[in-house]
Amino acid sequence: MENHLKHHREGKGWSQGELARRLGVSRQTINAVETDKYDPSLPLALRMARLFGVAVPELFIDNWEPET
Amino acid sequence: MMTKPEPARFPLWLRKGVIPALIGGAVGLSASYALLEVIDSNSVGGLTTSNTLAALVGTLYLVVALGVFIGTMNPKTGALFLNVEDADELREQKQMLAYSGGGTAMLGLALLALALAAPDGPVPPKLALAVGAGGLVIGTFLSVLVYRHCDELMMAVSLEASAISFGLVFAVVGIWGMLAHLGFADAPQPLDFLTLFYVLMLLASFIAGGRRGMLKIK
Repeated sequence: MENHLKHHREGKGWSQGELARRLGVSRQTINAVETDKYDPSLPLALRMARLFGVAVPELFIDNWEPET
Repeated sequence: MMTKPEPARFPLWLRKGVIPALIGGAVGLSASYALLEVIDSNSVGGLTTSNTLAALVGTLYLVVALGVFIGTMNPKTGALFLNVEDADELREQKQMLAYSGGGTAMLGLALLALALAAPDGPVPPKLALAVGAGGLVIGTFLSVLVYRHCDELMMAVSLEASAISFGLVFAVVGIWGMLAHLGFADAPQPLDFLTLFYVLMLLASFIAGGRRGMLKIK
């Protein structure tokens, strides 16, 4: 899933390691999310959004549209 | 606090591609050569193909465990040949890596003991059983500790690796069994099953890690 995690992380001036430490996960997890190799769990996505002070849909982009 | 990145002396492809491959290749080849020399020596007197392959795979696990242990004990050295961004990444995962290295070493030791067991090898069957079963039990226990120290990505990779392992074992052992049943191939030896589990488990871990971008050179 496309996301703006890297943009927000760099906006704070944090390295992947620093963000990983703040979220209590490994650097590999942050790297995998930023490179679209892994979609985080809902609790982690909520924590990320809270940390950056944004809503989850601002951080993770889902292009799905409901059928009309 | 953020650690200031150290200035790189060599380009990334050399530092994280060629040099680790050369170190790993040299250590792996040396260990394999030494093992084959021991197998061909008078004290062992040669082994069957099945036992030799099992011994080589057991040694591969021990070499991998050695690399992980070096990375755990001395992160600065480990960062030179392990696929991590820097030494801090190894320090952050020290406990999990220690359990992982221990588990890998125990599994390798178990297979090596079984491969060198009598009547082909010099290790008495009871001792081989004790080391083999003990290694598998302790290795499995340490794997559980690794799992408990995993974050959600590593848990997802572990589960995917387990699922891929099952698929690979079903395909390889199934096809081999089918061919042997029909007389197109020799039936697998008992130790071949264990060796296959080890090899396919390692292969599945690489596939699962690669799918999550964990094999990309950092």
